[in-house]
Amino acid sequence: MPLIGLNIMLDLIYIGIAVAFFAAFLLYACGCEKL
Amino acid sequence: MNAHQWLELALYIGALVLVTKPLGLYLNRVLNANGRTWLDPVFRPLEKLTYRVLGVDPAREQGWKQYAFAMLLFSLVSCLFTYAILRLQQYLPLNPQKLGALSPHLAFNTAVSFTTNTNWQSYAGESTMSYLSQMVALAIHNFFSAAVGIAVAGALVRGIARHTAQTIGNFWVDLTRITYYLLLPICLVLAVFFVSQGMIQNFKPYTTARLIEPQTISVQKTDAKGNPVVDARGNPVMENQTLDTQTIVQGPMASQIAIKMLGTNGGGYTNANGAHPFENPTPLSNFLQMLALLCIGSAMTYHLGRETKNQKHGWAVWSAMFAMFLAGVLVCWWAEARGNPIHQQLGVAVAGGNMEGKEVRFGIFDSALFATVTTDASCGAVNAMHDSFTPLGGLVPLFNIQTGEVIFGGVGAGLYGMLIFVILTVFIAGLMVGRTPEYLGKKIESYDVKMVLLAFVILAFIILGFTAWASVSDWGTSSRANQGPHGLSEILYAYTSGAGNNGSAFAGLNANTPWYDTTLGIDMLLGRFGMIVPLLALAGSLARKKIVPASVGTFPVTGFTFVVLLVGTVILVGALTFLPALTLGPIVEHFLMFKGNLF
Repeated sequence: MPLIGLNIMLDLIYIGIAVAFFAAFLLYACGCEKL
Repeated sequence: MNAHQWLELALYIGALVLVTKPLGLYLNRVLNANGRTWLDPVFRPLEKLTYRVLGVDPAREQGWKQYAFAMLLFSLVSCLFTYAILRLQQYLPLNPQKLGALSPHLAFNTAVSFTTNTNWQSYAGESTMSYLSQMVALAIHNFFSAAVGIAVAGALVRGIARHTAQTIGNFWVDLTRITYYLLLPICLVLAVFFVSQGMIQNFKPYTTARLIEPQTISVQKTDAKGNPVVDARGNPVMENQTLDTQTIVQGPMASQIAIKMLGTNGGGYTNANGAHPFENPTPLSNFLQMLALLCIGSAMTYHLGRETKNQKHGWAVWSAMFAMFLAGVLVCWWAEARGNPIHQQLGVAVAGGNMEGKEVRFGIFDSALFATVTTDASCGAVNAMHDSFTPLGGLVPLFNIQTGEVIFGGVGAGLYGMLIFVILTVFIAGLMVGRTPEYLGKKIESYDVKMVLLAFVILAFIILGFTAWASVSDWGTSSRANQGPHGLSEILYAYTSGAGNNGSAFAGLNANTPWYDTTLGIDMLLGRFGMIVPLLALAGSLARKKIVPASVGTFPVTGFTFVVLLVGTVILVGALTFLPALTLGPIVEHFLMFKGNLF
């Protein structure tokens, strides 16, 4: 895979990890309310 | 351990005590949305403009969930903004060294690190970051992540102080006021002072100096594409290189260092961090950097007392922090002054103790004090290499982080971490006497204890979980510089530092690998927000409660008994959680050192 394509894929993966974790924290907050 | 060093310690403690009340009073006004300060003529118009631009109604307060959502949204957006700058820095201005983009895993690690106030650095600042990246991507987070920590602590204190209330403040108002009224003005004064001490502040390209004596060094040979060359057995092929020039770093350093210390961020402009002569030029700059580290954490306890109208409680929390601070300094200093017996037998140790990894300008005491202060606070700044400390000297910073950095602590984070232990303490005291625990007139119920335990357990779980995983994986063990217990300490320290949002490194661990960058990034995210969310839930729960009048059975949260019980809780909880791991790392290394084994 060309390096630029690989880097774009990795960018998307890492941005995805960050977004997923913050979404999980939002759900975590909702969960904390229900405990 | 001579008289000058004792005097410096006394001066440091005296300065910290002196600054606590005035800064605490000022902080109390800043954290009150309608509080008046002498900086109002300068910042009030800016504050109003900020609210207008953000579309925020400062009079409208938020419940804990709204507060948490606003905080998470702000952190996510600023994290992605930093990631973008780091990945695109070669196309952006203020890059006279023409430094390239960071790799995706390093950009992720760095963006998360600065968003979470950790400032763990898997890179060397001077050879990786453009001036724009330093000033915009990183320094902005130094301000905002510190402000977020103070805001969360402020919200928790409001929750404790209020009764039958549904709101705990407005996140955007707290963030704006803390940044404008507290962090910016103090940093401006600090930065100017640092420049007066010789710290640099410019936009010049790096200076190239010709060496008086050319040096010959052995480096690994690389091919035309820059890949390392290895022989048939896979061993690196070395070649001699003669160096006759040296590149000297330049850039906007003073402005970065002021907030790096005041905001307990710790991300160094240079790889050597506070050991670099530009970043920490004089003994006075070293002293003030250490004071800047703990002053807001110390003042937060005064704010707690003021807000809850129980100043004795504020001072009791301060006293518990101080007792642990003093114990940590004395143990670390004693261990380093005593030195390494093997070095002494070989005749290579200086008379003053263990000087390995220490800057000669600062010596043993200032290195030990700095190491203790920086890990009491959630700051990653160092002026010596903790990896080179004696096992017991290195154990102190490690244990400081593992107890949650509640000894004055990171800005805001120290107080909200300590309040976890305060509630745990009154809960344990309540169990001892068979009464429902009360804290400042509020009954501590099962929901509150669940939130406290959630905030604590997540730290223990991620630190020990990631350390265990890295210790049995090729990707984890291949990055160690040392074998045996010292290698385990390097891994344990990295994940402890990440989860505790400290950011200091034990050194010796090559963390700039895809695995370490990614797992440490996740470690930092969980350590920061996994703790803050239940704490805000706790703030909301406490704010809703009614005040119960104190009775003869109420456990007092002032006085000697409370301080002793609080210190005992912090140490016992920390020890019970981490002692097995510490035993396999620095403790066994300490005993092996006396048997003649070094790692």
